[in-house]
Amino acid sequence: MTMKPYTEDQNDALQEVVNIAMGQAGDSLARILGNFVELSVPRIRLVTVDDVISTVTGMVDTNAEVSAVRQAFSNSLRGEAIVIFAQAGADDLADLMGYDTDLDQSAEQELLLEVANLLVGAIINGISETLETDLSFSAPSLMAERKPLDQVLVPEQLSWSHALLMEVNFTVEGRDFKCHLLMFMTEEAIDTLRGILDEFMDGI
Amino acid sequence: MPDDPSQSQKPENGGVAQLLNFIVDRAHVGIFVINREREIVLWNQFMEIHSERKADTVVGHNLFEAFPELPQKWLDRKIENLMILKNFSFTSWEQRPYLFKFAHNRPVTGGVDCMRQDCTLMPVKDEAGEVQFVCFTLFDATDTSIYQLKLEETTEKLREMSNRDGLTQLFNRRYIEETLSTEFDRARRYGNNLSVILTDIDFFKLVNDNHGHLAGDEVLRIVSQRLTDGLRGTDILGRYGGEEFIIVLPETDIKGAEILAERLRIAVNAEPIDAEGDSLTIAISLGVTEINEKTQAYAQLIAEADLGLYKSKDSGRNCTTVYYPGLDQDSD
Repeated sequence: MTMKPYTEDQNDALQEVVNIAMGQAGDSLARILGNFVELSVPRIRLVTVDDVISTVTGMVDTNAEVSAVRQAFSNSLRGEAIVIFAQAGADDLADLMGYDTDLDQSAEQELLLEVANLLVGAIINGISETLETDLSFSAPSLMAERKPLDQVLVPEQLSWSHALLMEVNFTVEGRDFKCHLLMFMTEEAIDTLRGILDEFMDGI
Repeated sequence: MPDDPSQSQKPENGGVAQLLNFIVDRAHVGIFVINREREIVLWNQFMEIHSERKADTVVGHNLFEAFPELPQKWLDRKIENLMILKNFSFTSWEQRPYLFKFAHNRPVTGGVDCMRQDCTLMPVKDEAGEVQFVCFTLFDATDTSIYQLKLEETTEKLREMSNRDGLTQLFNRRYIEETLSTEFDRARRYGNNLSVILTDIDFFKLVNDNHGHLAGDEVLRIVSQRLTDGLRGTDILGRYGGEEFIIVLPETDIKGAEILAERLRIAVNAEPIDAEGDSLTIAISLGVTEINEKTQAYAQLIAEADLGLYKSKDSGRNCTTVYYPGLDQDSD
């Protein structure tokens, strides 16, 4: 497989679709939090298993501990989404969502799962609506709690060589809350997406 | 995207609709549906059996009135969010063990109080795309939770075992070095005191040679016990090697460490030890040191305490030596 999986047109279309979906996710978050949510320009990269950790740590760029939630999506495209919360922001979340701030550990985890599901769900729905393709997603689960970022992904457990990585981060104005959303699709999905993007461009 | 349920209820699909009704009712999964007003509109057989409430007694009733045990504030908010965002939503037994207080089918072998539940909430939209109903599917996760519980217990036991010395049940060398490393970093960060005692049983080889290894083992066990009894709450004792023990003393200065060392020395020596029928008077030698601004690493504390211990052996045993810079030259 080449390091450039898509043509320039396909890339533009993908960037557009991802921008729309990520925007919808930001909008959903803002509605639930009742705060203004800022989001970064979504970044799309092709990563190899060797550089995924450095790419992710470069994108997330924090020395602080993080918690992470993963969620799988499937149907026409298969992959996994990972939402990484800066710990300070995770602690801020209860307050933002209008809960008591001295939540126990389970309630805190539940909040992280809730927000991750909200973002991933909005993005998956956004992508599937825009591309007119069927996508569904599974229940979220906690993959790391209060860990250094480089311990969230374990290279030995990654059984692919290339993956398409889409990243966006969300911040809430004037608050500590910050999270990064990473969507990974492996080789097979990269090929499937090419066909879907072509159909999408034909339809415009 | 959920399929539009009206699709499968077209007249020509009457047979399929009947089949779907049957499946929804009899599947070994809890399925129920509420409308925007939180009134129950569908309640399948799984829900009937486990709630012990027939569908005709709950359909048409408000979910939270029918089941006051539900975490209303939290669940209602979740339902509200789902209506706004038109998004699937989930709950997991790992964070919230159950929504409904149902009996589970392992009353004998379970060990958990009631059915653990994973739950999925699906928005059911009308033609205009508005959410009119929320469909809940409830999965019995009791078995998984029991396996998880057993796994956690076993892991905890293994970790505990991997930290302990089999003979004395004291912490082993690996664990105590980890602990000392952590305490060293902590003391450095907050400028706290930290002392280390290294101690060794005097003439232990003679116990083994003259009274046998079983007697030797018994001496190790009883010395361990006497050391343990002499410690304070925050002191951490481990078996460092054959007949060598190490004690990590957080927030303790050298004076305090020396007092403790002397107390332990006297306690071990106070009464003879009954080992395999032989009454043996046992003594220990000790070396003590504390952290200072020049201490490079935790291993240096062990090395210094070891020099103190060596000096005690050299000075006739059954005594305590406090390390000072230059001690090693003096010993030569």
